[in-house]
Amino acid sequence: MKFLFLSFDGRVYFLFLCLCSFALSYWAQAFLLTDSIYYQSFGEQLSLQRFEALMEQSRKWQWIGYAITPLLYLFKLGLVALCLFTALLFAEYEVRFAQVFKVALIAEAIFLVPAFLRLLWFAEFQPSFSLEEVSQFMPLSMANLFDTATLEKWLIYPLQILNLFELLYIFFLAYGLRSILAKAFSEVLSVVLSGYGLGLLLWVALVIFLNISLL
Amino acid sequence: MKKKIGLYLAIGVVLLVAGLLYFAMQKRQEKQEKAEKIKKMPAFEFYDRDSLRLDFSAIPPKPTVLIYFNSTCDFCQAEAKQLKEAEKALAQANVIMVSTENLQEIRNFGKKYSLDQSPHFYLVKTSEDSFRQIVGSVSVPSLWIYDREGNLVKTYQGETKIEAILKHL
Repeated sequence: MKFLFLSFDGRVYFLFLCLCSFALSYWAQAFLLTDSIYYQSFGEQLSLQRFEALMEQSRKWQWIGYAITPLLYLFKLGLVALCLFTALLFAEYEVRFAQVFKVALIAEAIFLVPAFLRLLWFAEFQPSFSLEEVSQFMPLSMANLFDTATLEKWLIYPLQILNLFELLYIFFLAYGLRSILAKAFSEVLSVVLSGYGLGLLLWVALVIFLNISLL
Repeated sequence: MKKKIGLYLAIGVVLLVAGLLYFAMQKRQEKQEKAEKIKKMPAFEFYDRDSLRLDFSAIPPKPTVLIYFNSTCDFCQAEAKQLKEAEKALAQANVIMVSTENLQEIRNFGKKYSLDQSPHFYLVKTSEDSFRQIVGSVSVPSLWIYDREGNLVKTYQGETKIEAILKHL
């Protein structure tokens, strides 16, 4: 069966992804993560005058966050595609890197859903929140089964990664690659798990290492 | 053949993951031990502006605010300004500002923010190795507040307003 989305123009889709990400970031910055939320977190330690000066400075540099979004996407998609491509290569499948990259690009949209749900949650269901609660909340993840305030900080990220959307993403990648390779789904899924799965494992281990070393 | 190489690569990644996690856990244990050690004010090796070892027993018995700084850091400069402005309120404590920079830079910093005139402010130098051995790697500025008996009361990472410091003295 032809994978419907593979017929999309990759550049247009990439632009759509970036625009959605900009919109979510703007929503978060403009309506949720207001100065008072930041002050709630930093006010105990910073004087109001210094807090305002630092917020002013951060607003001045806010555009950088938007500007590097496409680069970060390219970097992430490149890494995912590289992991998948390597696994496919060693499993002796004939595929081009550009095709794998496109599958990764299309599947990436899945992660817009938890980002949207996170904002929706705090906008509608938990209007009183702290900056820490926002950063530690990941919809439909293992992290929600624990009181993150009592967990060691390095444990939060791996628990956030264990979420339903990550699972959907893996299935989506397998589904996309199956349409290119015309192989059994279970066969492609095992390649995705060995390529992307190992890559993700390495990434999580690296984040844990850096979290413990630097924080 | 390709599948065999792929298998070796996968084993390599798993070993790398195991290695990273092993070193992370070692680092975690090291940090926990250090955090435990600094609960009581350690015997730091600090040197004053004349390169003389700071004699803690000669310092009046008061709570201690230990501040780790670097003269080039913006937040440390902002902290220094606030400390100078609150000089009188902080007279109830010994404020020890320590840096791993050279003595001349520390002296210049003290002069620039007029911190070298206050009798309860001590601008001192330490070696990076000896300081790291005791507290580990920390950002600048970092603050540790000890009570009169040398028990750790509060730790702050980053610039800290005077009210927050005074609250724990």
